[in-house]
Amino acid sequence: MTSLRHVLLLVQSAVCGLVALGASVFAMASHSPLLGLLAAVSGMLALVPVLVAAGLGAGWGWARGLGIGWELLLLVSGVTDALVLRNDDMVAVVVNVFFPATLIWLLLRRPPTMRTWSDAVSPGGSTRS
Amino acid sequence: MLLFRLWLASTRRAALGPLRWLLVFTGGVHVGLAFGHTAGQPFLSLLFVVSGVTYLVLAVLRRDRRWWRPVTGLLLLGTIVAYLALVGSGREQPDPVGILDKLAELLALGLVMLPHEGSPRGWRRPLRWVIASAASLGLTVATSTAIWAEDLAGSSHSHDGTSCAANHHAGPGTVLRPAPCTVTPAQQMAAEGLVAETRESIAPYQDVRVALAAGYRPTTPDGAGVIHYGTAPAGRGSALDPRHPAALVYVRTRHGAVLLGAMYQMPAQGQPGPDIGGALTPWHYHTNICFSLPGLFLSGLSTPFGQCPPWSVRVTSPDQLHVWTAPNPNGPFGDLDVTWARRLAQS
Repeated sequence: MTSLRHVLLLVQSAVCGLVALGASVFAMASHSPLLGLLAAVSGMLALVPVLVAAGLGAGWGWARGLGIGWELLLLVSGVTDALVLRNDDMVAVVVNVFFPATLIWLLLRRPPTMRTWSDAVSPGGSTRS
Repeated sequence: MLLFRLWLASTRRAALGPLRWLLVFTGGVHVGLAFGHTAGQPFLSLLFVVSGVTYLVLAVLRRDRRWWRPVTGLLLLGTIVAYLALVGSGREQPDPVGILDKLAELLALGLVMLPHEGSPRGWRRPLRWVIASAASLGLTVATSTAIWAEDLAGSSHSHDGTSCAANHHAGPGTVLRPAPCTVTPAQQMAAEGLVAETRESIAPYQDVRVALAAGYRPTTPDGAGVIHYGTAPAGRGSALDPRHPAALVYVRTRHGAVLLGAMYQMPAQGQPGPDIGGALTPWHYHTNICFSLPGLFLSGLSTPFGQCPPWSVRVTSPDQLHVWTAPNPNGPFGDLDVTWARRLAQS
């Protein structure tokens, strides 16, 4: 489960990175500094899941809190998007609702550190995915 | 036998981790896709059967065999690359099932690459962890970028009822309303009448300052310099009132904005536009527009995963119909010829 959490965070980061990439292209095409700023913010936000994954791997205590906070934000945004704006197509629901919900569950149920980085045996049990 | 092994594995909870579930999911999807491609693409169907069954077999086999991870990883990588090749060649469209299947395969590949209990310990384990993480991140970025690129460029591969409407193509996130394939003389006359009325009504807006004074406001321009000036719903007449179209379309040239035409829009999302000229005048709507909430400007197109930039929401537009009063090579109702618009912008 630790590995699943790690890979989910990486995939989520890549998917958020795509938003930043798209926003950058759109900003360049439209020569809009405002959109450029949005692209920069998107890029920085896309790094949050990687930071959380790296922090959990390195055993930094704040990474778990940051991860839970970030995923909660994504979950609220995803649920609002699906229920209020009716953007409830299958892919959007999986990526914007199911992924954050799963990650919150994984972040809450496991110790904050990722012991597979070290030689120590994980106190949470097997590190098998 | 396969189903029995699956059942047996499922009874041993510890043995059926997320990786096995992901393999079972993607194997099931591949077998299902094989049935869908039997008639049109028998060879592809056979490949789906082979890959699907292989995934299911790998899911039930013990993972402590030395070859299991390399073989599974190569199969996952192979199917991801094959999908991208198929999508890139236009034989497949990036649909929700395909995108979800790729996400499952990317997750599974990430899990396969990460170190496990059998991996060598010491300094090599964290190194493998870092390399596997970087590879997983890079592969997901590359795959999703390729899917989006094909989605955006894929209008030429689209088959969504565009054959009846000449010079109209459903693009990524653009849905064409079905239109009858015929054009009656009455419809031809009605369409020509709409163009003439629109041309006459929007003539005063050749000067963009007049449009601004009338309450039209610019949205974000696209790459070709084409920009829509929209007006608030209160300022509009009925959906097809040529005196008050929902938007005016300009192209920014070196000598100022040049009026290209008008855009009509239905008052609410989901209402099909009235049939005016049959196949000549199909209405369309967009499903992938991102609007920034502070300032209400167009902030981009949503990704294939339905995501927009920060502080933006994805909206589905009401039905729209463009009438080009400038000499668009695709005709007064056809898609705007972007090359022509770009040339105009540079003139």
